Amino acid sequence: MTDFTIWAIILLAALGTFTLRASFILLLGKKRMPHWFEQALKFVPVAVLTALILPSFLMKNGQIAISVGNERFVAGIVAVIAAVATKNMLWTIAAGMTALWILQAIMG
Amino acid sequence: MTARTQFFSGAKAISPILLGVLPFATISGIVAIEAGLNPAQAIGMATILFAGASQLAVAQLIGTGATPIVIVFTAFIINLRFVMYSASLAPFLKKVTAWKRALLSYILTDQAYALSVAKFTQNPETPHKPWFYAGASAALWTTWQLGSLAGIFLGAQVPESWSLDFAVPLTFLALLVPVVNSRAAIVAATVAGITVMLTANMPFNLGLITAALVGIFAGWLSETILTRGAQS
Repeated sequence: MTDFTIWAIILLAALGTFTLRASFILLLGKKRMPHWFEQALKFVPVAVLTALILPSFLMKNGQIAISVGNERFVAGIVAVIAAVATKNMLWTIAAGMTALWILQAIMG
Repeated sequence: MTARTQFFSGAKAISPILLGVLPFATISGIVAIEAGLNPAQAIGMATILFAGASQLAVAQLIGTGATPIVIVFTAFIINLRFVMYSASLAPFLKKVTAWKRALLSYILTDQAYALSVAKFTQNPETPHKPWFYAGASAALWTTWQLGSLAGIFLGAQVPESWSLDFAVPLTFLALLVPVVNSRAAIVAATVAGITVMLTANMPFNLGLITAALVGIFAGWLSETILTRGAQS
């Protein structure tokens, strides 16, 4: 990816994000958003985050790999357990990364 | 109480949260460099975009060579939640000038929003509300930039064999677990997850956006059905 493309991505993403942040504070003021939209917004984080996470855990070299041969799948399970047990970002990352490093060392 | 003291009481109120924000910021800096951004671009992303989860996603997708327009759109979807925050903060910030409201919009974050709205709702008589929010936000902004800078510096030292790109889904996982807190949320996650795997080979990473939208719709639909069921 060229430097220009990366800058364009950053600027466009920032412009879109600013518009969302300013939507009511700066632009719409007292207007209310439609009820269905408000309800749907609640599910944005859960849906987007799941869609971002799963391929990193379940794919290897562009193929679906749900097996112990996929280090990231196993490390991902370890991290899920850590996340549920600790509800803490640093412990989740520490558990997942440590598991990945150990598995990579074993499998070479 | 003056505007100035309210600014600092906002900064003070958010300080316990900042301890958790700092490592998140550092990770965002590291992964930006690992994904192939140069330091200027990584700093540009932290300052101009200034939205953690979307910064991580942008870095991850640049690293995997996704289509630029899909990257921009993904960041937009991740940040859709700001509309919700903006709507709920707007009544408290309406008295300041448009320029200041633009600035207050730019520094809007999950943490400063949650803290300020909780305070203003419990304490409707809070004086100088925009200043309290501005103080909390400014403290968070400063922490984010310092953490990012540390990460950008560290990212250049970390060898690729450490697989630090894996820290991105792990960070998202830590953000995901607390929000899977209802049956409808479980439906949204499950449907988004199945869809993203089924569409893994769609061109231009369109599977990601498709899965997000289908998941949001599934969550919304199941909640609508569940509430109707509870009423009848």
